[in-house]
Amino acid sequence: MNNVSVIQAQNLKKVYGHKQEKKYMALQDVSLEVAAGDFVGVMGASGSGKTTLLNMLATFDRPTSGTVRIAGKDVTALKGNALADFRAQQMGFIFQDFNLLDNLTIAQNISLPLSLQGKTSKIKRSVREIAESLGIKDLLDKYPAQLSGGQKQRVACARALINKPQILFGDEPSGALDSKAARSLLELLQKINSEQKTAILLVTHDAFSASFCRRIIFIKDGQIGHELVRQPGQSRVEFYQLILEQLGTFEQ
Amino acid sequence: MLFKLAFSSIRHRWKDYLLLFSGLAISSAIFYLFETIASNSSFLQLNGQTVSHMIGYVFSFGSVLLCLLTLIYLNYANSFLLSMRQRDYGLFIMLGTRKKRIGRLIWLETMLLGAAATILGVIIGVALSMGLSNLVTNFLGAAARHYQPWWLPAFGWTLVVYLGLFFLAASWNTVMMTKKPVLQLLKAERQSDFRVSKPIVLMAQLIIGLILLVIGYYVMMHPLVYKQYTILIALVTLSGGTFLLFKAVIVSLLQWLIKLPVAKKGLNGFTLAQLRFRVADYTKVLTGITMMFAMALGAITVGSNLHKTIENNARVAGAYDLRIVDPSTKQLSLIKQLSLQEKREYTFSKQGDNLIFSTQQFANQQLETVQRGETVSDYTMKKIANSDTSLLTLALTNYLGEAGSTNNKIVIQANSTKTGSQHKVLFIRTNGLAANAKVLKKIANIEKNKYSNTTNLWLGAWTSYEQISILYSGLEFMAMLLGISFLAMLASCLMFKILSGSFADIPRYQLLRKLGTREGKLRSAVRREISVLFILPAILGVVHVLFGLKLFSTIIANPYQQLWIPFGIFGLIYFAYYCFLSVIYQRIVLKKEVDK
Ligand SMILES: Nc1ncnc2c1ncn2[C@@H]1O[C@H](COP(=O)(O)OP(=O)(O)OP(=O)(O)O)[C@@H](O)[C@H]1O
Ligand SMILES: [Mg+2]
Repeated sequence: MNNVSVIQAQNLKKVYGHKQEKKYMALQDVSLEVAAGDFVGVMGASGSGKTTLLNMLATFDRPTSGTVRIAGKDVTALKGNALADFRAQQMGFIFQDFNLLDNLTIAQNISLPLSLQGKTSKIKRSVREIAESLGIKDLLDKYPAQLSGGQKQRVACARALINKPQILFGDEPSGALDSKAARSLLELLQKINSEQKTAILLVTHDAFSASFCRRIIFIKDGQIGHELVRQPGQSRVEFYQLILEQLGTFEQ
Repeated sequence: MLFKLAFSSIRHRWKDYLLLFSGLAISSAIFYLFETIASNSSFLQLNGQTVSHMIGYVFSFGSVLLCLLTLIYLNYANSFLLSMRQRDYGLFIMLGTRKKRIGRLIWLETMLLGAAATILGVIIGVALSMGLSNLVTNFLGAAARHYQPWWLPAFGWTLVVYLGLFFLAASWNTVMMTKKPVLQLLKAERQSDFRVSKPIVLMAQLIIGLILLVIGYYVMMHPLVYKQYTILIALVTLSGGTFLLFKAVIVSLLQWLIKLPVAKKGLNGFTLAQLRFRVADYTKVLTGITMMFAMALGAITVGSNLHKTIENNARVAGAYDLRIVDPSTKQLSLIKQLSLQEKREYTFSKQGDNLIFSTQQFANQQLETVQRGETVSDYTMKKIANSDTSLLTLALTNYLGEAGSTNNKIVIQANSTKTGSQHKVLFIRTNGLAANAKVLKKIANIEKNKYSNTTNLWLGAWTSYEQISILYSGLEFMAMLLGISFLAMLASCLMFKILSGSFADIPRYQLLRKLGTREGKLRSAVRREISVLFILPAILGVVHVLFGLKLFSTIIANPYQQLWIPFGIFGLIYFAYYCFLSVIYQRIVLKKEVDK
């Protein structure tokens, strides 16, 4: 299971700032691999380059140099429709601010990726299935403005999962949630990861969220500093302690 | 500090302000331009001699329409301004600024913007009318002498109307902003209408809307019955009817479409949701756009049809093109060049101011007169029986009553008399005034030279033809100007509407892109959404115009003649504008992040 990589990033570099402006190097020479079905967390201080890295991997931005391969395909070379289709078919996204369309109902929001791919016949059944498994089937006819933060987050999750992507990206998905809602979201992700074998890459700055991952990558000043892997048999609480210790030494 | 903040946010969105500002300036420039003609009384009087009531009517109608449209236009412009500012103001209030200070700031901002735009508009207006004065000379002919690019009353009017309206807008904004809850100001763009209308309500709206439209159309088809109230009634009923119809039809159409399987395909669901989301807002805008569309198209159609009707309208004025008393040899040889349809020759004797005709000659050659109907095109030539002395007297008085400085009296008696000087009079009717214009003009000039004073001399249909030509070219100019003004306002209203929606749309389209929507699909979604704003008003607007043209059948012989020319030109402009706006909109909402 772990011998195929979904993501292979090599020597990623990102420099911000236009020609005349002051340059800022947000990422310098980052290489990483994510195996199929893995659950990876990216941690680091504010401004360390986590979002930047995620944007590169998720094809939202292009690296200044370096390559990103997803499911064996070099996405830095993809353009236009090929890129759009690739996103629609292979990837799912959950953002910190949920990013639901406020003028669509919850059901429409969830089914958007299927609509975009023209898989209209499957919509009804898929939406019902996923909504049931995420416990949001009573909300399907409402609008985002009528939902709580945690509910919206679960809807975003449902939307990200409906087309059964190879990999799910999340940027601080639990950032705006209270600890209870955050826990249920993370347990949900864990369940998805283990049941559907969807690889997950999660950016987070808090140790609690990170403790749900199998592997954690620490970033500092645009470089990968350290890696932690949860050993088989290690409980989540133990792993959590380990992360806290690591953060303590890492931040100094 | 507050002023600094306010100013910095203006600087941040200078493009939108520029748009708003230039729209307002152009609108006031057009208003000024129109007023240079409408408030120039010497120009009006010069044209107004013959048909003064009509031209007065048309001009005041134009003025009222323009004022009304300006009102609607400023309303849209103001809501665009509000939509740009209310988040900022909400933020100021949240940060603890006193409402009174905020109110003053809003008031000042609106007034400053308005006053600056108005003044600039007048300057542009003067420049425009100078540039246009060549065109004006061509159109207005003799009357152009009285046309002045810099016209003080027009300036006064523009200032009064615009500053007055801006004063109202500023006060309105102040009240709106200081009374609304802060949360509403901050989240203004996220407000939405989730309500589903009941079928009964929709049905009632549909029926009332249709009834209002029928009333409006009926009134426009009978302008002689409702006289000066026609326009007022039509404007009110048509606006109301359009609004209700749009409301009922769009809402039920959307509710129906959303249930169809196609709604799930691609971005269809998204586009439908966008429309449904904005439907309350859209019905108002669509109504405004429809009315402007109808008036612009109507004005241009009427304007382009005016010159085609001159011949007809002159014919209605008299059965004969010219009357010639004691034709000279030159005139007789000129008459030979005409293609004549009718020719009558009578003799009379002149005793002092009395012109004495014998009845007998009208039995042999019956004189004709024009029998008018309801509309100008609806007339017949009627032969006058020689026994009908009073009608004969009336007809002859028309042609011969005025003789320069004296007034003649027509006498018709059984026997001819040999006392007094003997004269001959010739009545000719050609087969076309325009076709024979050159020769007719020469003959008429010789005829005029026989009199010392020619101001009130009426020689027949030809005289009317000359007068109406001048009058109608004035009207044509005005109609075109009005049409272009309406079109310009229509254009900038659409622009405001579409652009003020774009701010809320940017994140939506951005998200769709992130979810993996193809570029082409995004573009076609934008195009489709905008096309609704263009197509629906166009359909109803064309129907309004088709009925509205009937209104002009009192001054135009066949308002429906060659409709496709103005409609085609207008359609092309409209389509080009659609393309333009949809490209602009795509540029705004589909800004590229990746793929640089
Ligand atoms: N578009 C941009 N232009 C210029 N600099 C940028 C841009 N985006 C990010 N940066 C800079 O790059 C660095 C990394 O930013 P990034 O958003 O990746 O941080 P982060 O690790 O996600 O932080 P946080 O935890 O606060 O979200 C920061 O110093 C930021 O100022
Ligand atoms: Mg971040």
